[in-house]
Amino acid sequence: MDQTCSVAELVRAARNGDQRSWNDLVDRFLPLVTRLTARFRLYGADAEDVNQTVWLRLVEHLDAIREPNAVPGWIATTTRHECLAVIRRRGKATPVDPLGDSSIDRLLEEEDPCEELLRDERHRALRAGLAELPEDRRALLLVLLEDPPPSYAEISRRLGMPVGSIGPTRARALDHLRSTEALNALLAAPAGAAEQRR
Amino acid sequence: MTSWTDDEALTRELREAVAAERAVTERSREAAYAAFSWRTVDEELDELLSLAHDSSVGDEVVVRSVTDTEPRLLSFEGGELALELEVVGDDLVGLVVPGRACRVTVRSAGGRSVSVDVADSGFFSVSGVPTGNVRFEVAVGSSQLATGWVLI
Repeated sequence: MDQTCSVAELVRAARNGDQRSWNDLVDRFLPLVTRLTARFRLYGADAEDVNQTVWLRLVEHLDAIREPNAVPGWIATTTRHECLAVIRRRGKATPVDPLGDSSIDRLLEEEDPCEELLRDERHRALRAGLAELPEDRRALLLVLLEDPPPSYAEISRRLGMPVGSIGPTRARALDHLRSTEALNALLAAPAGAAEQRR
Repeated sequence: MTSWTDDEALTRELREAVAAERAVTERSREAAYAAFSWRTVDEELDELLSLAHDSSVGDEVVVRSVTDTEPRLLSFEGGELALELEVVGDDLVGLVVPGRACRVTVRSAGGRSVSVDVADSGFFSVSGVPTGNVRFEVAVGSSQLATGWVLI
């Protein structure tokens, strides 16, 4: 994923008809759309329909959005709006709504749109940071993220790494991650970057 | 704020970050990439009719208890023309306002479409309406109009 272009640059290039910039925008914000959709307990065909609506609407509105930095917020708001519409319509089709009214209310109360955008920004920085690491360190961190985590003996066998060096290598890999360009860029411009995207 | 000095906290959020990317399906990605192709189609349009009303979308959060047979009402408006639609399942009845002879096409983002010739009265009905994300195109005289996308 190309993290070097700003959202505003991608939006401007997409307005000029550049499919690659559009695809970069999609790659950057698909995890946000997917995550929000899952928060509303929509999966499978429902989730794919909402996802498609969001991107079709963004194509429609691309020229109308005055501030390109507002696009992530626009995507989050549109996703939330369409998820609620699907849930309301489903209320017609199913005699018993699996997600009762009160839990939708609770979901909306719990949810802080700004926090979701900040979280998504941190996630993108972490994935970009992970991509910056050398292969062996990245591989070890990815294995350690598995659920349930494999035993050190299993990790040793899979990665060909002595059991005794797994702990220290993990510590070095996490330190390395903290010093990557992606994480430094995020920490150098905290909150403010996301703030202007709303 | 971000506190990644702690190895456990960093690992926890890294796990979420990786999981968020892995949760994205290829179908979602392909549909999102493909959405862009409508941009060139839209450039040929004379006008985009905007959604003025959708009975399934309200300001209230509460899920209304309504029956299966209650139609979904959709209104689209443009400068010269409005479109009133009632959708029940895959059946649709509609009215072009003001009434005039034209051709209405229901087109899905997936590429399916169904067209109907509309008489002077402006009334029309369509059965076998594609589901999913659709839009309604109106060809009147030499003008091509279309609504924004709606999920039905």
